[in-house]
Amino acid sequence: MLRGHRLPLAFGLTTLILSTLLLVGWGCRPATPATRRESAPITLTLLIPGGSLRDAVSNSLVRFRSEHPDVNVEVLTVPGRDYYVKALAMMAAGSRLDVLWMGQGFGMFAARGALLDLHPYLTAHTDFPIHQYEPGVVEWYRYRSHLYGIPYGIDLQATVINLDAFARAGIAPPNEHWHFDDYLQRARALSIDARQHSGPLRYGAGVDIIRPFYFGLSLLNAEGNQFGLHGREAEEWLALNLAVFREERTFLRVGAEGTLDRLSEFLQGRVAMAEVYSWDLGELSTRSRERWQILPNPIARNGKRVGWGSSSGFSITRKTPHPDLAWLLLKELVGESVQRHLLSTTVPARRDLQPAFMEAYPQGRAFLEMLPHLETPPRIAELQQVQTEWDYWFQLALQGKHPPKFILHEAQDKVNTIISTSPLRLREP
Amino acid sequence: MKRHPLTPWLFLAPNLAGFLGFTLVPVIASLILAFFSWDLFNEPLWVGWKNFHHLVGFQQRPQGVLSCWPAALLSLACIALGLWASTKYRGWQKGLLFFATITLGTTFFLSQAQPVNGRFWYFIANTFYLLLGLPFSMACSLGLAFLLNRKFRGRNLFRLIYFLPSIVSGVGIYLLWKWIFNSDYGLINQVLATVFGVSGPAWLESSQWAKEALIMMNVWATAGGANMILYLAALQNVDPELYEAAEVDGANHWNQFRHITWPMVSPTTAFILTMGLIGGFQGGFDAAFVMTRGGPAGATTTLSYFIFESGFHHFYLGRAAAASWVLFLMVFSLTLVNWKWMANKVHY
Repeated sequence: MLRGHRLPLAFGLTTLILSTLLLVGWGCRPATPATRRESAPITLTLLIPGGSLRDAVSNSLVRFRSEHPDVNVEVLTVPGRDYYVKALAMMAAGSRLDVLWMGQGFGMFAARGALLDLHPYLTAHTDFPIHQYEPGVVEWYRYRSHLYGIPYGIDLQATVINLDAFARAGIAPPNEHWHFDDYLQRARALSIDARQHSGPLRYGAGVDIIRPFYFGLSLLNAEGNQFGLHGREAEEWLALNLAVFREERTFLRVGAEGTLDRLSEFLQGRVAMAEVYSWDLGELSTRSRERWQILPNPIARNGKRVGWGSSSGFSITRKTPHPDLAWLLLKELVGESVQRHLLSTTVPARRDLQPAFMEAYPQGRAFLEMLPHLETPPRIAELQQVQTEWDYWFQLALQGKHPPKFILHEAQDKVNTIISTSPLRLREP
Repeated sequence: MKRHPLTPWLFLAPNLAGFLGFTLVPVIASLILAFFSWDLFNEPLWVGWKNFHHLVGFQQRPQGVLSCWPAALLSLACIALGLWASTKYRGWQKGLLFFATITLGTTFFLSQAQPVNGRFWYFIANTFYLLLGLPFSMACSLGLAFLLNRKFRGRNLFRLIYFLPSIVSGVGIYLLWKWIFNSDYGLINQVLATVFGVSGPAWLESSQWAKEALIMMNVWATAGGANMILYLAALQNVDPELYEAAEVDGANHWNQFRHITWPMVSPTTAFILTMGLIGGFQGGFDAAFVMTRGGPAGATTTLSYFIFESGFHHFYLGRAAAASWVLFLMVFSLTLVNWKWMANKVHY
């Protein structure tokens, strides 16, 4: 039996051991399958951004589970615009992820070596109909000769116009052969200034930015290692943004603080023309109270038609302990059933399913017309940093703090520094 | 009864283990990390003082004659000389000389050198600027406490109403104010247009007004909260006999406030000021994240938001850790100054 003065010592010792066990247990990562008993079921973790994708994925998972009853699939949802950084942080922190949704942030993962090369699986599983997938979109997931993802959808951008707004203003709606200057002229004519009228302000167009491709420019050069907005065209382009957003107020900068999102502003009639994406089709079809039409983007000043484009697909993480099972799951997720389920949000990546998309959404023809004219997001690890940096300088330009020439010069300096001093590039041989 | 020398340590052990695991070790790790470049995916790369230099360092101006170190030494020498000379004077002359030498030294240095990262200094300035709301908030808290200390019907109801913003979720408040500040259909601009016939500014979209908007919101949110309760408690502790004596001596309300209330609540003021400064330096993240994302053009980016963005958006973990230590040094030095200054002003 413990003597009186030993009691506190024993109590303290027990508490120390318990708290250490608690802390160690708390800090431990979930046991990897290698440390589990052989009989325990395997769990694959799937990360998606939610939305309509969740329903499509749920349907596929029912089928996957029926074919693989010994495999559990845990679905994690990270909604919102921070999907990529949260996914990266989870992977870096050692969270178990096997398969994850991939989109325009693909380069951030591929350049960091976070994804598994799918080439060996495509070679081994010849039954997978990769030849039916839009080749250019599949290529988008290739990074330094490795294939890091398979698409299920193509995200395309075009322009939607409010036909009733055109009719009310007595302006003829454009046709698909319109040019950028037609677009600009119509936007100016359609805008109603609240300072002169008592009704609500209506803007000619609602965009986040007048895209550089209308001036034959892009944020980064083709290799993605240099700032691409320089020269007289770039100054002219920036000055135009400043004019339409700030001085004339004929364009609404959608997505900026104090505005609703792009589609809501269009549906509420605050903007007569807006950028529209393939994922807007369903909502546009069901919620619009006015007549609308989707047109391919106007032809740019250099005579070319260009539109933003990206892809939705799935990738497998490089550290997955079950790459074979993850591949089977990925095949299911990029398969026909998911693509058919998501017709209202994305153009199917499989060419044989695109007629079904056209049948369901005849207005989506304009998106398919944009397919050969895509400008895809740069596939670089520093995408987030570059975008933040450029956004800073662009906002500064819109505030009228500095002339366009100065802004572009400074932005060029800073963006090039970000890219050239990136820890990833410093490690490159 | 003789105690075992280990006994107290063993009782402290659970707390100490938590402190070591979740506070001390991460703090030391962040100091070490500040000297590395690390993106979470690849091994950390030793970069020495580069992270600090990138944040708070200076470089020679293109048109500058002297490089950074000689310019810094010269300006320091100028300041030291001025300070030495100021010891020979008293009163306003001493203050003027002190101010003039510091201005001269700094201007000389800045004519020769420029910050490596001017934007980081801008974010520091933003953090200081947002602190300007603190005196307004404290004055409002004291005023409310003064009013709510009087006896009137429904006093408890008003106390509850004024305390409500403190118990409402911060995100809810930020979303509410985001609507209030909306340039097209927000409450403030609607009132300005309807009542005064003027079109209000684009509050959160303009780099000129965004900080003022956040200050207004913060004053509203903090005026009636814990600070008001602290002042209320302090006011209730003031001996009524002091007021009675002052009335007998013919002191009016202003003089009673100035010579009795203000000195008696000064310990509370010192506490609120210190905590407000520390909180102000560390704060600003949540409002910026929900309402402005640090924009427009970085106008509402505070140090805490910058640390978050560097670390968890851009994966510059080393730079974020270095910025955290810069923030710590600022808070620490300002708190020291504040304590020293308040020591002569507080009546205990």
